[in-house]
Amino acid sequence: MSEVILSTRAVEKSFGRTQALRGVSLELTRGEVLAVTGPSGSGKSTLLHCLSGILRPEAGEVRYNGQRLDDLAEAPRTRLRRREFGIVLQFGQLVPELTVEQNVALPLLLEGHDRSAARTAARAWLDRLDVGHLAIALPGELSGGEAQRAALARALVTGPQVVFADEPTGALDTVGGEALLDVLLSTTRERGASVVLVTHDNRVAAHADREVVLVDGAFSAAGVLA
Amino acid sequence: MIRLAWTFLRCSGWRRAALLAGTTALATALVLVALTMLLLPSVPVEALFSLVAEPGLRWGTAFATGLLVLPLLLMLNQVVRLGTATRERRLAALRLAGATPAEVRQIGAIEVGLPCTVGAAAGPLVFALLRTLFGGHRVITGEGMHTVDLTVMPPSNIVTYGSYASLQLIPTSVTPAWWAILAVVALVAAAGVVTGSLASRHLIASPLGVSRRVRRPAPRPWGLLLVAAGLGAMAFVMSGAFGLGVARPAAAVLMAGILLVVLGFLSLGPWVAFRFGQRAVRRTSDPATLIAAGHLVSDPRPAGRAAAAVGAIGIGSGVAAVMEAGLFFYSGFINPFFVISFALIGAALVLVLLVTASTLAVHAAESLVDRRRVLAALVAAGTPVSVLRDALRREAMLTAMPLSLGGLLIGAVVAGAVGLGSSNSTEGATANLAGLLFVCGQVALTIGLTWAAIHLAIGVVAPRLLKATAPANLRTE
Repeated sequence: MSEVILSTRAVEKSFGRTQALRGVSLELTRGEVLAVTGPSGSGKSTLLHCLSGILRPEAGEVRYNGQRLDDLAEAPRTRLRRREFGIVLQFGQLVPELTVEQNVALPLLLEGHDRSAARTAARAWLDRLDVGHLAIALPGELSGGEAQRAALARALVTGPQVVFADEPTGALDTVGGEALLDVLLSTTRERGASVVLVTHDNRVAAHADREVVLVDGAFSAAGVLA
Repeated sequence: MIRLAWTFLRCSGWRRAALLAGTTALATALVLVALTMLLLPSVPVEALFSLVAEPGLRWGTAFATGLLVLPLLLMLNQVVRLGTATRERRLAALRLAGATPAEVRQIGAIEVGLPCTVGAAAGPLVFALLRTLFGGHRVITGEGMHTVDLTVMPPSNIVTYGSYASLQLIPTSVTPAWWAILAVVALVAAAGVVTGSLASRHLIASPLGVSRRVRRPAPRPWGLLLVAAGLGAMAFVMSGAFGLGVARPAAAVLMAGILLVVLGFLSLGPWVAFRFGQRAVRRTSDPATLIAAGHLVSDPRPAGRAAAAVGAIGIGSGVAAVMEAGLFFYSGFINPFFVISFALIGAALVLVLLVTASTLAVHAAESLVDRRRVLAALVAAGTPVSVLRDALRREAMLTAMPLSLGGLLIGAVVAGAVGLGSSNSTEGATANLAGLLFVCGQVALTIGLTWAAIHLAIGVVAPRLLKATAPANLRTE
């Protein structure tokens, strides 16, 4: 039986009078790629934010490697996200004023690595994701696909156990989106990391090991894809 | 058009409008104070502090009061930028709704011009209030020299002499003519409108959104030319080229020199921000400094302008420190007139520092709103909010500290050179050492106060940082 790395039990989250999550429970095993799909406003991003410790649920619990995540104070949750998780969003996640290499090196600098070691690691990941030639470019000078590869390099540079991707191909064309997904899944699978992939695109979800569908903050169906 | 601008003004909240109006009101009042000082006859009929009452000192005091308007204009420039992101979205929506680029510009100008005009119109009321608080006391005419001369204790030719006489700084026996008041109000309101138009001159509003014109080139140190010209003018006056009996032209050239040095320093702000940001970004391995320096290199102008007045404070403080050391340690006695004069200068510098701290806070708040999605993404990816708070602080420090140090150095060296040139004293080493220690102490105090002002400014915007990094901003474009 596969080891459960991340789990939620009866998680609830509201924004004002809108209940975004209604008692969501799920488990993510080590190395698994889980797609969370559903229509707009169904609570997909809120679930990702609760799973990754960005948001705290109002009820229920979130556990990472058996440890309660929702009980942790802000500072240890932030450190955990930096060390154990990688996060890729749809757009606008790179610091526009820093070069691509500096952006990728940032999590390592936050961890206290020295400048040259952080730069070397950042360069290695950029090369691996075929954007090494853009190391000294600013994010504003990149195409959508290149920016997402740089963001992926930043998410992977700390060697995360779980990668959270919120509509990572949402701003890309079909070919660019497929290419990015290939890179994301191959690099994470190679490292044995798990992936939580939020998407409303069935073609993207088809790459996952399992798909869960959220409707109005609750799972409507769950199954294992081939 | 005005109705539309008025609607936007109401919708965008009163905070920005109130700040614009408050800043212009204060600027108008200060110009009126300076003007009133200049209207005073050579023998005033009221008890005023000697800095105002003495015809020889009055011009310098009025000039210094006028200089206080400069940090307010820098503040105005920053306040105009408040809410840029919302305004840009509104401009794009207007274009989509069919407004021409000229109409969009007009609406923007009215939006800024209206509160500036209201503020400038309220300026005379602020002036009246200041005059009530710091006005001179009328005395019976024909009683001789009606000035509070604190150099002689007690002055025999003074009719009224109060313990608070040092705060009698604004003449009450003269008032600018109505047309002069109107001209000042119009001038300050126009300055506000021009500042508003200049703030958005690099934007192109299209129906699909607002974009900035091609990346602007790095700032150049043209301000150094102004500083050099100003120092040259001052050196020319100090060399005695005007000779005896031409005090007024010499004073005019001296004031022009001081103005050039101050303007030069103010315009050096963006260049200093860029250069120090560039140096830091190449060398640092500290994430907060990297984020701060990266932002400075990418857009040095707003940060440079926000902190620019710190350089002028440094100049003022450096000059005052050397003059105080000269007067207190070499002249042999403590003169009450100078003590009060320097206390007033110190109070004015602290006020300017507070205005600058407010400007830095406004700049930091605007920068947070502008970058909220990136900041929220950084926190989501594991960057502690404390690192981002440090980044804000270091961004201000990287610009303000070099300007402050440079200003102090220039002020102290110039005042020292003038003092050496005019001195024929042979004081001992003890006095030299004590004077030097005094100057060093004041330099340290100025830097410490600047450091505290920056901490205060960033402390004020800290709650906004938490708002900017909220996960809700991960969803905004």
